[in-house]
Amino acid sequence: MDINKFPEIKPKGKLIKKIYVAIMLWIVGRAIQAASRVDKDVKREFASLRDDFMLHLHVLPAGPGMIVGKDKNGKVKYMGWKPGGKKITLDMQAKNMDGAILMFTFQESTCVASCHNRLAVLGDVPDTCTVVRILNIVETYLLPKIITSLAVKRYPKWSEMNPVRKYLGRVLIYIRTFTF
Amino acid sequence: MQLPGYYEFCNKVKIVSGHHSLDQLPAMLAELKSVKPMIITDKGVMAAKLVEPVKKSLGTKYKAGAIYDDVPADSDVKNVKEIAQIYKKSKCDSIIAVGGGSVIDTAKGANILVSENSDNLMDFTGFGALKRRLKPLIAVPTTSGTGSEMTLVAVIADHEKDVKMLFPSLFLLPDMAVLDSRMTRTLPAFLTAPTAMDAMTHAFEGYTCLAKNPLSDTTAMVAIRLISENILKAVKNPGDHDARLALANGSALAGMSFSNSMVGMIHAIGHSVGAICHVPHGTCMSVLLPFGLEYNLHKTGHLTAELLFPLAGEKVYNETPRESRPRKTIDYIRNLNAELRKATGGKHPTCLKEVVDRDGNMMVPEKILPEIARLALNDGAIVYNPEELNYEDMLMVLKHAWEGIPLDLSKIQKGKVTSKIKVK
Amino acid sequence: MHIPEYFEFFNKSKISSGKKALENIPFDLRSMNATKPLVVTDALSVKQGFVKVLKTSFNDSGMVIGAVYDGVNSYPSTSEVRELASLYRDRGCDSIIALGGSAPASVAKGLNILVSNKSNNLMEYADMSKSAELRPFILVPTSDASGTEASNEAMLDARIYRSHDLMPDIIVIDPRMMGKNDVHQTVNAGLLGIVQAIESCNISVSNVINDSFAFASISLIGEKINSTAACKCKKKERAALINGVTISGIVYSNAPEGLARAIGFEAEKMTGNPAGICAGIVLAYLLDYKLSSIKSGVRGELFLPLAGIDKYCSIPEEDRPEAGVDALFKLLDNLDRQIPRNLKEMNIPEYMINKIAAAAEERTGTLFPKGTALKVLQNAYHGKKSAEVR
Repeated sequence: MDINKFPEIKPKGKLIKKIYVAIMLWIVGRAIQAASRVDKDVKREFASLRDDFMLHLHVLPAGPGMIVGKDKNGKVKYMGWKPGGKKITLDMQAKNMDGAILMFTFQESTCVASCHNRLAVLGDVPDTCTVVRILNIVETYLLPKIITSLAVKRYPKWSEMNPVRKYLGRVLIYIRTFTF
Repeated sequence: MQLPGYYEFCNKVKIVSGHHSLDQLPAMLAELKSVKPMIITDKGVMAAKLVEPVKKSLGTKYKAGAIYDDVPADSDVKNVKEIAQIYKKSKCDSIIAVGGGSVIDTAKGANILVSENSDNLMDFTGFGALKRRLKPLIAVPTTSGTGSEMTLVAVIADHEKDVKMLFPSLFLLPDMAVLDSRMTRTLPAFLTAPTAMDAMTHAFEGYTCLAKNPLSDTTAMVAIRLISENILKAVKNPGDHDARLALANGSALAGMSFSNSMVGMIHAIGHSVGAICHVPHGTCMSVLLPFGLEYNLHKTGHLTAELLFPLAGEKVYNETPRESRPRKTIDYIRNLNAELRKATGGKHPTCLKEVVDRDGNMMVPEKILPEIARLALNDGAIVYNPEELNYEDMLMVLKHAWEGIPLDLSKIQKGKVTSKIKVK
Repeated sequence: MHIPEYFEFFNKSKISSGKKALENIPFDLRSMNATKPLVVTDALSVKQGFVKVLKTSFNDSGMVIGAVYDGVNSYPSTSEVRELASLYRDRGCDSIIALGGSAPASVAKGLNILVSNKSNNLMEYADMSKSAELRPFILVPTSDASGTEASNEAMLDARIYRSHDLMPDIIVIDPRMMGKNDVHQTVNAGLLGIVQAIESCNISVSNVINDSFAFASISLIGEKINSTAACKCKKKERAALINGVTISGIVYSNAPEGLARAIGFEAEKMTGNPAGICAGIVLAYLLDYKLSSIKSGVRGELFLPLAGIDKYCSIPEEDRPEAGVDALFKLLDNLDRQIPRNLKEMNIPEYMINKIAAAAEERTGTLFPKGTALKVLQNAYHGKKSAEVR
């Protein structure tokens, strides 16, 4: 057998997928920060989390990520994408880039992604449930109902009863997400 | 048979089943290349003399390197550490866990420490922390049951820090599970009933929750058939060894099913009732099962309908009109609970207010329901439930389960209706 | 439901099936402490584009593939396995991925024995209890799967190596690996799968655990075999069929070989006709024969996965065995454009029937009374049921 006929295959990457996921993670991270100021449910959820809560949501093995956590004043902040020097208390890992794409093109909600084992989680289970609820609320703000309805089990009733809360919240979150 | 968009199924535990399957222990140990097993059990199992067939089977060739019988009702990290130290000191090379869920979970925890040569279990929490095969572990369940012999999770509490740690890893699956009817023959009626209903709930939730798949479906169905046909037989006649073996197999199948398709709100609420009020897990499951199915009817009514077949048999299924089947399944379970209550002399509860301790004191006071509801919100099982639950939903279900009154379906906040059968 | 006095059941393989299943492979390999797989496949997988899809699925994973060997042919040999072992060692690989059907799977299993034991002699490990722990092995069945890939068997140089250790650690079924292939191949795989599943439910060898797996397999194949055979189906449908076929391999590993399967493979050896199609036709006549000689010889519960809960429950218990056999004949009838109606139409010379029967009976030992194989083969040859013969 001529083994040179069967060379090693080194993995390539699709830059566009990496960029898309990086942007989405940035948007979601910033939107979580914004929602923690604007929405009372998100505020309450964060209040129930430990004081040094720090979420690192990223793509394995070395893909893009985002970090959101409480600073020393207890304020929820988007902290960039580099985990170095930070104490991560909840590490949510998308096992691969395509799994992350499925989540961030909303083909699979966080719940469905969990059912499909697309995510590996290191950390407290109660914190994970809280984060899933926060993500559901943030998605409701960021996306039109027709897309969010695919992503959540039950579209939140508050957003139907009180359009002011929903639309005002949406405007505020968009502003805060995309400005500094 | 619907194939989901994606699924995973793993059950790589070798199952050895029979009325004297423990006699095969020497062959099993040889297969696992072990010569000095450590036996882990609890005082209850020792007192019931259930370790005797194990020791007898080991004979003189495979004398147990050590026996530890101090596992508490709730697995604790303290015991895990003690066991690991004894294991190393006695130079054992495998573990035989003889007992219920707590014993098997403790054994899994100890296996992590002895295999990784560590004394800090905290280093191994979370998915992906374990990367290679652990030392051989044989599980011999003495209840039918928690199905822990088939699951990849160990739940171990640290009572000093008041936390419960979850260790999920495929490497935690026992190498073998021995289903021997002798191990449950002395299980009293008031324990047979809730442990069998625990297994029943695993199968029901496995069939109806979000991660269901073809194999978790068939294993759940067969499990329900085995449990349904044998639960009352075993409760009324504990010495019926065919019924015991059937329940053991049913419990293993149910464990296989839910381990791969996850559980939902019944477990989320049940875990919380257990954590706050110290109610045995199986008891929580028995009471909550019909309520969980009711709550999810608008999502999974058609699935609940299909389960009438293994639960009640072909005749009942055929004679019940399609639209009535979901309700019939739920009523059948309520009746089963009532029958079990009769058969256990009133010990098996049908609602939360009937749950009492050995002295007859109520274990779930009504005023504690809000606290349970709050805790249940943070149980991971919620993710896999077909319908969303917030605090108000949890409290509503708990109140009804407390009183023993069926849910008013019109009061349930419904997301998108996905059930193929409309239930009013 | 049958619980024998004593039984054992083992399924080593994790099944991972559905959208983007392939992309999980690097993560799963790392979880097993492996970082450099060798891919074993055949020219057909290259032609169908499956190899390209597999390579693409490794993008962004940071994991190097040691090599992709695509030279496996239909009758793999031990010398090929030895050569591959050199390639594996040369590249410093630590795991194996088999992509395709039974031939790549057999080669991968044989390779695993050699590299895990640092040996060049497969015969030494005919008794696998002597083997060291095997390296991680992932099976990616494609639409060319035939039903034996996921089993505990490897066939090399026409010799069978059998051990539960040979079963894959992970089976990855991805719709992108379902191509448009030969209709006969699809039907062959589906029928072999259904034969393996049904024969394991035979009351003398069955147990409740294996039954659960068998029912899933029969249900999936029964529902999908027609649409996939008609070639008009989506990849997802084909993936569902392959799920059923794969699960049948696990079921087969947990029961002794049945008579129809044995006949199928002996017929293939002697006449070149596809084993699955032969076995499928023979199975219907075998069950029919059992039904007519001892009614209790056919389990009524077989009708359940073939027909579904509603139909099953609507028929009285005593009629279910016959309903099951009828359902199987109906399944074959519905494939009438893809398969012959009897063995005669397969151009099997009649004189071979005796030889095939004798070989099959030797293979299955005392599972059936002597002479059963010949009687059943004669019925299957002429397409005549037992009642008609009398």
